[in-house]
Amino acid sequence: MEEESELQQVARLGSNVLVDFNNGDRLTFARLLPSASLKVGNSMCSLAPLINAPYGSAFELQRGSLVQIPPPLPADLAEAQAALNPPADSMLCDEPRGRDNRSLVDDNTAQKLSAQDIDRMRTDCASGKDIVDALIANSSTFHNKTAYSQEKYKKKKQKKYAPFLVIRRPSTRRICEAYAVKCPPKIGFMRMDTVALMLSLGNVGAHAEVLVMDMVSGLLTAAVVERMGGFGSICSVHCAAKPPPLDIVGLLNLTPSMANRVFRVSISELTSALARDDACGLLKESPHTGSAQATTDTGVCLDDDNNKNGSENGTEGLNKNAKPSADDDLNIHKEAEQAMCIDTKQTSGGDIEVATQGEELPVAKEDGRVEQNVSAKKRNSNAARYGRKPDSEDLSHWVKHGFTGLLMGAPEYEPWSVTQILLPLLSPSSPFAIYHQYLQPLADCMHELQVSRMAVALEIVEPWLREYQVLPSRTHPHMQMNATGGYILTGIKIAPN
Amino acid sequence: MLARPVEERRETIQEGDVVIVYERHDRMKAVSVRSGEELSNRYGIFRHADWIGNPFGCKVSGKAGGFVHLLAPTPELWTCVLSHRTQILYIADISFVISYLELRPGSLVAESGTGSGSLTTSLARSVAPTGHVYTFDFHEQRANSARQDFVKNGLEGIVMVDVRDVQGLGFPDTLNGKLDAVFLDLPQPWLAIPSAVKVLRCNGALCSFSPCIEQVQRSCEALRKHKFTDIRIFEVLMRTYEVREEHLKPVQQEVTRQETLEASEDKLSSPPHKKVCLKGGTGQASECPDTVRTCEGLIRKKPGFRMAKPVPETRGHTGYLTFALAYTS
Repeated sequence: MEEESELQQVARLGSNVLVDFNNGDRLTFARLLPSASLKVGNSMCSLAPLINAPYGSAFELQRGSLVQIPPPLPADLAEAQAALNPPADSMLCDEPRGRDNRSLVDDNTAQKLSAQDIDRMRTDCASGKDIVDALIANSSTFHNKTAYSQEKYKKKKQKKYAPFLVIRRPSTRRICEAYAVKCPPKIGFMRMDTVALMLSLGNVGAHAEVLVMDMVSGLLTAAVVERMGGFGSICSVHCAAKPPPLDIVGLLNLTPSMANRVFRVSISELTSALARDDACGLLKESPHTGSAQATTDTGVCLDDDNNKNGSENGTEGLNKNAKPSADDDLNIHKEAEQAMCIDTKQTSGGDIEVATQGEELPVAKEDGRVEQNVSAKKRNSNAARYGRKPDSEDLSHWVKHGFTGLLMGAPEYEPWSVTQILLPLLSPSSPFAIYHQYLQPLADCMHELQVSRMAVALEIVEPWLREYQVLPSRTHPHMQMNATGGYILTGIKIAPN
Repeated sequence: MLARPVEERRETIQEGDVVIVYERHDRMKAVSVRSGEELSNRYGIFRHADWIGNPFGCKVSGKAGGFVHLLAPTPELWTCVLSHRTQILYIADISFVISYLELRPGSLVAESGTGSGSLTTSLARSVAPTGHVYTFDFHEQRANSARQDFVKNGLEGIVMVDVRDVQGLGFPDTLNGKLDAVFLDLPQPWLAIPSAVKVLRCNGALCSFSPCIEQVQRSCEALRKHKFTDIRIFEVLMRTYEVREEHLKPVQQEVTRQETLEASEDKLSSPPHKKVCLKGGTGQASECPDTVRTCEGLIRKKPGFRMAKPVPETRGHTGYLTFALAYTS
C-alpha cells in the first residue's frame, strides 16, 4: 500500500507521465527513462530532470534543458494585472471612456523588434521571460490595451517564447481527456464523464468481479483496474480470435498486484464454460432461448462453430454471414479515422517507443510474467501484454457465481447480440452499463431486454458536460465544448424464472 | 452494500439484510428483512419470511398475486430510495466527482456536509476496503440519522461521521496533511478553503459543489489566494431516454387503402397506458408484446419502429463543480 501510494505521488524512473504544456495546450505521454527525450518548443530535451519529481511539478526550458520552477499560479496573473491597471471591472460601466480598440490598426508596425532581433536574443540564451518583457517594452500598442487583452497578449507570447510544462500522473480520467482531444476514435468518442458514469452504473469497487468488453483501446479496462485497486478481478472479454489492443492499461503505472487482477478471455471460452456448467445442472440460466443456443444465435463471430444452429431470423443470419467482411470494412474505416490522429501516434506511441528501445524497464520486476511481457516489443505484443489467461478454476468460479457487473464499450458490435451472450454470465441483481456512440442500437437492445424480461431499471442515459471560465467579471461557459459523450444503456439483471 | 471478497460472497437473502424492493423504475423502497413482518404496497401483501433463502434479483409474489423484484442495495439504488433530509447529489455529479478526485481503494477523503449521505455512500464504495471517508455535518440530528444509515448499509468501518461546523471551525487538526481529497457542499465554501489547504496532502484534490455562480466566483478567489492550481469548473447533467415501439403510417397507405387507415387510426394514437407498459419493463411488460401483436395482426406484418426520445421532464441544473489541486511545494 505504501509503495502504491508513493507511486501515485512521485514520478519514478520508468513511470509513465502525462506532460501538460502551457496549461492544457498540448498533452503528451512519456516514459521517464534517462535516455528519453521530448520536444519542447523547437528543441529536444532530456526527460532526466523529471525523474523523482512529485506529480504536479512544473518545468521550463532554460539553456536547452528542463529546469524545475514553482507551478505558475493563476494568482500571479491576477496580481500582475492589478498592478498594471485600475479595478478589473472598468470594462463594465464605471469608466465610460475606458480603453478599447477603436484606434487599433493592424498594420504590422506595432512591434519594434524584428524577427532577427528575437532570434538574436534566443541564440544569446535570453530566458523566455526576458524575451516576453522585451516584446512588451517594444510594443507601441500594448499600453493602450485593456488589462484583459494585455493579459491575453502576455499569455500568447509566453506560450511561444517561454513554454512551461507540468507533469501529471496518468490517471484514467486524464488519459481519457487527452485521448478525447487528440484521438477520440480510439476511445470510441467516450468522454471522461461517460466513463465516470459507467463505473458508477456498473457498481465498480473493491472486490467486484467485473466483466468488461473493451474495444476502446483499454480505456474501460484501465478505469476499472484503477477503481478496484487490486481487489477483485477484471475479466476482459473479446469476440474475435485476435484480442483488441488495451494500450491504455499500459499507460497507468500499475503495481504488479493491480496488473495481476486483469484477465483476458474470449467469449467462446466463457460460453463453453457456461455450457459445461449448465450440463452439470449447477446453474439454470436460460433466458428464453437457453444459453447454449444464445451463443450461436447472434451476429457475433465466435472462434468456431458459429453457424451450426442456423438462425430463426433471416436478417440475423445474413448479418452473421456478412460479419467478416463487415469487420474488414469497419477496420478500414477505423484506420482512416485513426490516421487523423497523427499527433497521438507520434507523441504517445512515439515517446514511449523511443524510451523503450534497448532499456530494461524497472517497473513490475516482481512478476515474471509482466517483466517478460514488458521487455517484448511493444508494437507486436499489444494484444498479449495486458491481462493473463484465467485458469479453469477462475472460469468455473465465474460461471458458478456470476460476475457482479458488466461494462461494454464495443462500438463495432450490435449491442443486443453481445448482451444476449454476456448477460447470462452475470449473477442476478448485478447492474450493467453498455456504451454506444449511437442511440439507435441501444434503443433496440433496450426493447429486446424489456420484451425478454431479463432486466429491470432499464434506462438509456446521455451524459452532458460543460466547462466554465470563472474569472473576475469574465465568467462564462467555454466557447468550445464536446457536443456528445455518447449514450449508455443501463439496467439490473434479474433472476430468470 | 459493499462487495465482499469472493470467498465471503453470499447470493441469497437472509434475515436482517437490506433489500431494495423494486416495483417500477420510479417506485422503489429499502426494506430490512425481518421474518414475521409484512410489506404491503399496490401489488399486494408480501411476507418477508418468503424472501429468505431466495437469491437477490428474484421475483417474489404477494398474497394477491402481484409481484415485485428484490434487489441487492448499491449506492446508485440507495440514492433513489434514501430519505431526503436535505437536497442530495445525484448520480451524474456523484460519478464525476469520484472520477475527477481520482478516488481508489485506500484513499482518505473528507466531506462536509454529510446531508442525507447520498454522495457519502458512493465515496465509501470507492475507497473501501482500506480507505476512509471522514464526513462532517453541523446538524446533530442529521449526522445521527446518516450514521444509522451507514451502519445499516455496513459502511461503519469506512465512514466516520462527526458533528462539526466545518465552515466555522475548519476540519479537525488530526487530519492535517493526510487527505487525498476534500469535498465541500457548503453555503459559503470559501470559508472552509483555508482549512482544506491544511488537511490536503501535497497535490491533493479539492471539489466544491455550489448551485449558484456567485458562490463559485468567491470560491475561486479563495482558491487562487491559497495557491491552488489547475482550477476548473464544470457543470454535469444527464438526459434520460425512453424507448417505444410504434407504427408510423406511410403516406401511400393512406391514399390507397381507406379501410386500413380507419382501422389503424385508433391503434396508432398511442394511448397513455401504452407508454407506461413499454417504459416500465416490469409487471405490465407482459401485456406489451400482445398489444403490439394485435395491432400488427390488424394492420401489417412489419414490426414497428423502435424509437428513443428524451424523457420530457429533467433536471436543468444541480450545481457547479469546482475542482482544484493543492499547491505542490
